[in-house]
Amino acid sequence: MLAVVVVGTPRTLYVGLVAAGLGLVVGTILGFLAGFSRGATDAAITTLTDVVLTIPPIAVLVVIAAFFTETSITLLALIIALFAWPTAARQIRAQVLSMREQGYVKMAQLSGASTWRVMFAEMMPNLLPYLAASFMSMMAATILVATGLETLGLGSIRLPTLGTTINNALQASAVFRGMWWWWSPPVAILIIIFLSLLLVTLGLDQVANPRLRKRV
Amino acid sequence: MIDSTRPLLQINGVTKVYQAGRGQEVVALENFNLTIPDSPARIVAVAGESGSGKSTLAGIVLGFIQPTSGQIIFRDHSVERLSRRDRAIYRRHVQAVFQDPYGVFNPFYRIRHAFDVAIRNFKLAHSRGDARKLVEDALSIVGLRGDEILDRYPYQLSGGQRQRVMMARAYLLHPDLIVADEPVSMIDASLRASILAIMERMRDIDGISFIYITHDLSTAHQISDEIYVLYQGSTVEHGATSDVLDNPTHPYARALIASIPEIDRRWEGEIEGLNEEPQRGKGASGCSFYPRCEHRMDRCLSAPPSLFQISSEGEPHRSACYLYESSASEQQSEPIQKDGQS
Amino acid sequence: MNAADASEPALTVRELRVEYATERGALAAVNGISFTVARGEILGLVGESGCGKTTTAMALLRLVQHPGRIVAGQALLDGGEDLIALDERRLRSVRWQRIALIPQGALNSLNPIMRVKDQLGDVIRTHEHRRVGAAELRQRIERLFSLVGLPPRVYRLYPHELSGGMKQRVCIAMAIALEPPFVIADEPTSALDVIVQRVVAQTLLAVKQRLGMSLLLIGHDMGLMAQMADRVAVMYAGEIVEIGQTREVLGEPLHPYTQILIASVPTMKTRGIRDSGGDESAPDLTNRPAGCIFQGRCPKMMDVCLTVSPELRRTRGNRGVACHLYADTTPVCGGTT
Repeated sequence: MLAVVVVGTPRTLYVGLVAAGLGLVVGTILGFLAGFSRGATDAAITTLTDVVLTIPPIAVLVVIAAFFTETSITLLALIIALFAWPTAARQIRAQVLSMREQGYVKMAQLSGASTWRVMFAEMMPNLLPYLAASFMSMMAATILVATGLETLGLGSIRLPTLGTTINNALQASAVFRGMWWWWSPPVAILIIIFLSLLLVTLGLDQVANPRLRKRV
Repeated sequence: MIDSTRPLLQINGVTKVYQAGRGQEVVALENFNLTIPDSPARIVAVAGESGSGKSTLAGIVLGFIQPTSGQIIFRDHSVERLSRRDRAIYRRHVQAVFQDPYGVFNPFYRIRHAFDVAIRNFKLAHSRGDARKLVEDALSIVGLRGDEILDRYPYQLSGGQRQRVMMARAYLLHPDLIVADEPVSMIDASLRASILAIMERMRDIDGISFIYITHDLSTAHQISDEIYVLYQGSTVEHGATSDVLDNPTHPYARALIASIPEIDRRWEGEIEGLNEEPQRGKGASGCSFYPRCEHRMDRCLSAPPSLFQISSEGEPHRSACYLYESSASEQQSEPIQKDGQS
Repeated sequence: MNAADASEPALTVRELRVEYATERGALAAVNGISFTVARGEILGLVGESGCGKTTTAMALLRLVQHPGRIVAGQALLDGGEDLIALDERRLRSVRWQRIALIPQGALNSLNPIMRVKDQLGDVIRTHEHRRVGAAELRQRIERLFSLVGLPPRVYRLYPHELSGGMKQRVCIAMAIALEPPFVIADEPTSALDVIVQRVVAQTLLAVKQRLGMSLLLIGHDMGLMAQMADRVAVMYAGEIVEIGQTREVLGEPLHPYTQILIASVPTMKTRGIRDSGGDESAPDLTNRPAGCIFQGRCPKMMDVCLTVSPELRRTRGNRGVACHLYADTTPVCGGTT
């Protein structure tokens, strides 16, 4: 069991990281474009976002994952990212809309900054705590989805992850047979992962906001 | 003594209509005109209460808002719809100071960032040394020193200091025109004088003209040379500041001035009703002040009044009120555009 | 509690202190102030941002929130109950019935999802200790409307359908609904346009005249104080530096800070800036200097000002000044000028 957990945990984390990271990057870029440019660009991106949001992720993911006989964890991460970005895009867009009217945005424009610079050199740094928090919650969500899929048997078979371990346990009726030592370590580790993500978010908030930095 | 060579800024017939929800339209500015001569530098006050359109005007002059119709002409160039490159050039000449000192500096960066961005984009200096000198120079105009300010974060400076840094930043480009949008409204009374003094100095010594947008007629009286009084998107009175504020003619301007709480003069009597009316939609007929005016006549409902000339000597003093219609017709020898501007 | 003693001031504040706990220590936002408001009088409490005037108002109404707290002082209403010492139950009955607040921005004080008539009705019903029938309620609300100059159509409207001036007048109506003898108005006109400001200010004056109440008017606009206040108290960094009849204080300000404040009010007669020496060096309130709090900015500073903190002393009849320039005076007890 120890070996399984040692190998499986980083793989689970990897899925979460890649899926959340990719989803956040795509979501942020699109969110910024929509919120800042407004008009037709905004309308187009928002429509796309809303459409993807309405697609039930688990159902589609199950279908896609079942299609591949061997889902590597990278593949798993990629297809999960497909469904992770709209939430981020929506939230970022809302933030950008409200930040857009800030004085420093206008000052940057008056100083000749290009649109891209205004978005990513001026506005985005102020969103870092928000982005970090989004990243953490997205990671939690993606790990959950990944684990869910794996528990259903759609994960990678060659090397274990936390989810596939649970799946194996279920397959062998471990719960029914009271073999708690099979399924509880992965579950416990998942819980620890989620708690850690929360704590990291709180810490990041302090780092990114100069005002909260304790004076040394 | 309006300079007859090409003006620095000419705003012709600018109208801005916003679409509010449910098919409603809000007319922020209607057929607005303004001229600033190229020299001498002057501070032109645009005074009005909320809903007068003064902030919209600032946005339009600065290129943040597109007018629905009309033209903005900056030294022979039409600037109401600019390409990105042309807008960059325009911004070399027209800068701004905003009302809220708490929002104008990016909280993520130190103060020097605001200057660095401008220097880099406009290629104001070719070396770090030159750049530093430029910034020190600008800061000294406002009475600040680089070593006290540049390495601080915005939250470490007081409101008054931030406002002064903003003025230094505007000065950095040596623009021809600065749009100051309520620059002292959020500053304590005892600290306002120093900010306003900086504006006067920039006018007198550096030849920078200002559009001073404000709701406070007293400060307008102190520093501006010329004043436009706005009501619901149109100019109701315009002229040299001392003429307009010492002898206001338009009923709204008179009510406005009479309502200023002064230390040495009590309010006299009661202002009639003055029920506050909502913004009117496009196409409403007649004078927009009609519902609140104590001098209203039938004539006032026919069409929005033009700006009629009040006096024939000295600087033009004009009032958009039918009470003054007769004195105007004798003096206009050229065909008038809708608003009375010739 | 008897309200018939005509010589008793409507409000007597003694040594009020409010502190905020900050990272760098305790910050005294209000540093031991004393003043009185006579019956039927309007006292203006004037100062710039951060001087502690709003904190004072909040303290009197016991609305100071963590991390602030009232650490000392008394506030006697009609020479009787101490507002600072009241328990929750008694406080609830005193609020609105005997002392009420007209807040600064109507945005924050009107419930956006209730019609005006319901909000006023709520106030009346909650604080009257008996059942109020619908007909009586309506009648009272209509009377309030006529007192503050609101047109009848406002009755059924929601706050967002009202203009700024109307909202403020609804706030005034709410404050006077139970005809309290004492009202605190915290910058009641600051958010309003100039003309509307005058209308609302004159409404408030008319209401005060009609109902005979006493008013503590908080603000930063000296010009407005000149129009409305009978007496005025100037605050700086949590202390009262000057207090007296409005006309006298404005005509002949004694404290250097008052002089700066008045000089910085532009009149329609002045052209050009006279920089009156307003300087930025605001005092660090967590680390009050020994001596006078106005040290850093005072153009008339003397040696004694650095070491001895001046008390509020009576001078020239009925004026109180906290300044060593006027040392040949009698000390003021409990701010009774």
